[in-house]
Amino acid sequence: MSRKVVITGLGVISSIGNNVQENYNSLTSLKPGIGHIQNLDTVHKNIIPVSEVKFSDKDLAHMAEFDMSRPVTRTTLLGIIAAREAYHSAGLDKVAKLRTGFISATSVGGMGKTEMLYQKYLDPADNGDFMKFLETHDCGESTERIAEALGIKDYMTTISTACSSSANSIMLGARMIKAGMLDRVIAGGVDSLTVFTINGFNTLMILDKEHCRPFDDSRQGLNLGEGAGYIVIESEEAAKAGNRPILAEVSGYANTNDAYHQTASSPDGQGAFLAMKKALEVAGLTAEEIDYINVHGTGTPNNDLSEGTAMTRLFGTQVPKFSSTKSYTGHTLGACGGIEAVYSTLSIMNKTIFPNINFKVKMKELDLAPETSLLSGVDIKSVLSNSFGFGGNNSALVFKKI
Amino acid sequence: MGRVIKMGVAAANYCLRDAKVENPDAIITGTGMGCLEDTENFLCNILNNKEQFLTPTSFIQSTHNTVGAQIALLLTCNNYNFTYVHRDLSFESAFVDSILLLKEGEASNVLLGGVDEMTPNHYSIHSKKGFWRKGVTTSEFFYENSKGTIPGEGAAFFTLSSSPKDPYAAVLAVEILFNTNSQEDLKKILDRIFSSNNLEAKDIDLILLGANGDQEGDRVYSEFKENFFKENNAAAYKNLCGEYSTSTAFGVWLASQILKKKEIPAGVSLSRTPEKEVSKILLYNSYNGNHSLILLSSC
Amino acid sequence: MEDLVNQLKVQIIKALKLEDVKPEDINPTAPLFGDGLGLDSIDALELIVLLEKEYGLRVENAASAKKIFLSIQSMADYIAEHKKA
Repeated sequence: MSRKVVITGLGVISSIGNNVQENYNSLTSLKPGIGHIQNLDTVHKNIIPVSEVKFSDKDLAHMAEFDMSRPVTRTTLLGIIAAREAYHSAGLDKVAKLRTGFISATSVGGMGKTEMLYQKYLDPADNGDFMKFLETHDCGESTERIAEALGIKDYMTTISTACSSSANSIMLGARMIKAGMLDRVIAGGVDSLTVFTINGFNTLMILDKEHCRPFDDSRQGLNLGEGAGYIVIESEEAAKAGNRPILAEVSGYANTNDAYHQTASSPDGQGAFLAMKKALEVAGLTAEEIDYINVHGTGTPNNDLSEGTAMTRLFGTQVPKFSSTKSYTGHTLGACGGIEAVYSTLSIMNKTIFPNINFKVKMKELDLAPETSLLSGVDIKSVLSNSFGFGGNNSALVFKKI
Repeated sequence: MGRVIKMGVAAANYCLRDAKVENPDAIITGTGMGCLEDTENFLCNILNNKEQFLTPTSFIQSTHNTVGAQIALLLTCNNYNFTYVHRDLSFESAFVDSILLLKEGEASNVLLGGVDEMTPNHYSIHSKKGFWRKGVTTSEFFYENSKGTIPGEGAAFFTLSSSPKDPYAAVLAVEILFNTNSQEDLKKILDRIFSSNNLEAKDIDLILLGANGDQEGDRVYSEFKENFFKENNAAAYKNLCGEYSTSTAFGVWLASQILKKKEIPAGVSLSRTPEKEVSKILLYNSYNGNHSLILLSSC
Repeated sequence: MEDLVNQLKVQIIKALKLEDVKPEDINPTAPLFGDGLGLDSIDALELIVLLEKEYGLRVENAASAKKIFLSIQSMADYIAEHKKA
């Protein structure tokens, strides 16, 4: 079980760009993607800001090269675009076939289509062409379509653990490679914005009506976002044998459960603390060796306080530099672990820490301030990336420079 | 709280009590459709009330990992907690991960479950697609060569242990084959299962097939039986639990009961009377060109 | 006032699906959260919607809700006061 798992490809689409380069440009030029709702029909249109990918489904289908005569969801299209970029950037389309898996994650799958068609579905007399979309509802459907677009069939599965989903798909991929079950995996996740999730989070009163302000004392909640992020991971042997550039290593991972409340995080951040601690153990690193944390940092009063408390418990007074890139992308739910894995890798590759924009004042309870300006030329050897979800589902990943 | 959550939590409780495990090292669940009732509730409230007067409870409980999370909450279990949602392979995905955790030495007891619920809306929407046989009250329809099947739901949980005390069965293989209708591909997987366990086809005492009574869909099972296990005893199980995404979990539960109790319940209709005690059971399920094979043995 | 208190009890039991609780079991001055009825933060959000839906009263955030939702009595007082205005 000593095989090293390395990253050889990245792919992302989000409100701040359609590919890795565009995302990087927005991150380094401090341009967030948060604004008014364009693509959804909802009463919250001009009230609740979101972080939307500014393309219609038709545009996305064109970008994804998907035949629109087949039933398809926005989730699948976003997923194909990002997963294909990762796949191609690792040059996997050109190399001899190794055992390849696709492990995806999503929190609401095809809900975006279902909510538009549900009343017609329920009408027993209406059996029109729209019925073909019925099969696009469940979470596994997008995974099958994306895997099909990439021609992957050695292994595939879908994880749904709310907002930690895609961190967990990376964790599973790394474990399967270490165990020798697969040689390489495209792992990450995707979610599209839906009226369902906007209303869901709105009932919880954790949507900020302004741009979200992670870790700021005045934070009022999160902004929902959409997108997809995937990384190509493979065994070091496979990457070296194929002469593919190694971007970083996935050296640590952990999943724990807060076991405190169905949605709220515990005051002492126990689940988050255990996840970070365990991920460091798996990576064989001490707390001092972490140079940067890409925090979960949603901007809700509860998450940031709990996460900050857990960080203080683990790192004491020496909390590493940290930032929440959700201040750019919003909270992309099942996609955020994948997107932030891409950003963490970019941080290592470019010696850059992306700032936590909109932060002004430390929260009263903790002496913690994220990075607020772009830092370049930082030798980042190890990054910790946190993703926490409903149901107390806490995950942490460690990415290491090679 | 949707019935799927209650079923899941209850089955998990029975299972842990049965295994005399207080706090498992991991909780891994599979669900094809998730918490349907809560999802439908919240969705219908949005649509009927034009996004006004919505309350959070059904939204929260619509999250796919609610069952695993509720079990963790009740046990105060801080350990690994994954939920797989990969259509009809959700339970199998959870099973593969469970075995991996045990092999890694990360867990010595894993709580593994498959859960799905049926709701009136789900039933009526799928009726429009001709999924269901109507007015069926016995298993007879299974042999009528007709279209459609019976809807099902359920929760089945297992404690997988690396050092079991009084086990039901040993897991010899959990294999998944994706996106193929080639009998050659199936044969390769079967050969791998057999060679790694020093077995031959004739050693399998019972083939449990995921056939569900739908004439067209069941063809794959008769081909499987015909091509690879012509001489073996076989039975179906979905006449007992109905069709749902994680019905394989019910199949594994049934197989485990048969192997431990050394008797086959009357409701299981065998292709012939067994000549000897059943000690090896192979489960086979298939959908849309995907296949799962699970081999269990008596201990 | 007593009518309002009893009406609230019935509405809360229904909204929170407190299947085992009868209206007469609830002491109107006992705390709703923590030791009393044992409600949590999600239940508070349900109660906020209840006030809006049944009484047309908007509670802007969960923090200011704290005082209102101390007990059934405090909820009734709040409703009585604001309905008049």
